Amino acid sequence: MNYRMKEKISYLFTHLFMIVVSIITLVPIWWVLHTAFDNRTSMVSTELTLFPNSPTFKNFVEVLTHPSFLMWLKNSIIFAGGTTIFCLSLATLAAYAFSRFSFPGKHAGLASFVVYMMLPATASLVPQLMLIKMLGIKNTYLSLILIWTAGNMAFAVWNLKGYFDTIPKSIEEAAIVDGASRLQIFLLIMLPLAKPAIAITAIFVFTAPWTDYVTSYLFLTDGSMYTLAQGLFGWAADFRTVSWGVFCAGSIIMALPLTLVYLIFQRYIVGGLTVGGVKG
Amino acid sequence: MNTKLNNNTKQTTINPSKSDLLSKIKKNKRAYLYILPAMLVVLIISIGPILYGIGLSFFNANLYTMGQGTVRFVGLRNYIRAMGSMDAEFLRVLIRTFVWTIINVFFHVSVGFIVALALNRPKLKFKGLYRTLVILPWAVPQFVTALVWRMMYNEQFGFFNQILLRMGFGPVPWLSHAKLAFLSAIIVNIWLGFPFMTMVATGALQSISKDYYEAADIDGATGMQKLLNITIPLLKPAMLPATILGTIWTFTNFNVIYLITSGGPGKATEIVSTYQFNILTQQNAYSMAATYSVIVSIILIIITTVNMKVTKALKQEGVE
Repeated sequence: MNYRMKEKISYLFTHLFMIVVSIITLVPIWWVLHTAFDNRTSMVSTELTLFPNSPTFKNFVEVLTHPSFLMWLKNSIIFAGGTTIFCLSLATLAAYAFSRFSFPGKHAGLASFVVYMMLPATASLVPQLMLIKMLGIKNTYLSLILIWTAGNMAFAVWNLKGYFDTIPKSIEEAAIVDGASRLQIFLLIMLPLAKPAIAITAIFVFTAPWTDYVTSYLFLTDGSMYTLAQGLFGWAADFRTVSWGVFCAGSIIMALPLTLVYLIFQRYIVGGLTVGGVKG
Repeated sequence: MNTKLNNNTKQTTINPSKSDLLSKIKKNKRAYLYILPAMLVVLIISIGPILYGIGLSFFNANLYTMGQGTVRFVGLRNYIRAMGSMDAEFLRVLIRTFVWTIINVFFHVSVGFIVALALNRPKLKFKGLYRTLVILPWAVPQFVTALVWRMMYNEQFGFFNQILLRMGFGPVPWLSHAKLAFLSAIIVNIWLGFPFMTMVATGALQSISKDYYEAADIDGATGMQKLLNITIPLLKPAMLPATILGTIWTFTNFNVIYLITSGGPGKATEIVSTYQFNILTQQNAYSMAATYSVIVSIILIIITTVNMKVTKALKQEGVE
């Protein structure tokens, strides 16, 4: 009885805490939604309402019929999707090796990833520009997919390795006893077990090219290759082109794929699959 | 110590030493094969250009000299110039970057961890909803939210000043007052950064077996004891690499400062990344920008080495 009351009160405080945190995270997002669905053309208003007085989709219609916006959207999908697939294919293999094998150069290899991460991007920007020009792939999808893959590799490998490390070796040992090869173990046992980590890593890797505008700003000079982030930043910098409402509608469309990706992968993020793996 | 001894005895007793060596080489070959693709991309696209960039810091390359073909070796001149200006601009930017990093990472990890703990309570209702809401600052593209925050900080019409006005307070110069502008940017970055730590901690919390807690309950452990002796030690392997990455990301963060304050007012909120970017794009001083990069890298290498040593020590502690 007493214990139950205590627990109830403690859960009440947890709810209060979570509600406060949720409100803090929601305020700027509420502001964007409010503006995007608001009928008024100006960003600023002197009245504060929880919901727009006369909600409208006209900003969304305007942005989705804007030819530049659709082009940026297509480019961003190719850049971010390509980077995610390429980076994760290489990173899971490397992370598995770093987690499970011991070999000369292992620590140097891991450390080199960290050393690379510590070098601010500006150190390599000019030489990277030269390299891309030299390879003759300036203003191509390949150029930035390579740059972003390399840029995210260290994080992806470290993140996946950290997760592989938490998967008990007993699962693999059992498989070895059963006569499974290393590649079979990696593909059929480790990858399914690592789904939560792979999902989280994929979302992070996808986020980088999707939201990065500095790299595309420096590397893409051809307007037809511009990304969503780059295009929207241009709109934000000059509001004579579009209204705040249209900009916010575009921002929501840009944010939506990421939110969807998050929802699709949420199952894997939530599931503690290692527990089931050992027990099953 | 003990496990090592066991392994050795196992190897010498069960396997003949020759075939053991062979299998070791075979195993290594596979390891290198798995790592090679990732390594090659990083080497060619990242590490190569970085080494080239370090080389540039010993030359006088900028837009003018490169156009004229008068790029030449200048030795340590750029470094001397950077150190010479150390007492003025660059040192101030550097110190500000340290303050920025320490405050941000502290709040990212602590807030992220506490939120993850709250979300991991077994009987919490609306868990999925809370988790989704808490993750939003990370899920929504950073530069969009950064611009929105900038708008909310707007002195005349921004959300915060409107609320304050209604409560009878005067307008707060969120972005035009030097110190306040820095604080405003820090608030935005904490808001942006803690969900990542929550996600990492949540993932790790879910992989902790319930058996530990059940055993602790049987032994009559308090909630605090369980937190200190089970949760935190088992979270360390996942949280420490994340914290190292977070430190590096925050130290080299560009978007938040650039989009919120652009380094202003004046140069009051400039941190190393925006400072370097301005040197590179506004002055086209390639070699000077590279020199600053190298100096910053050395600092980051020192920080990370210390971090890794601590991580290693803590990891061994966690294993016991």
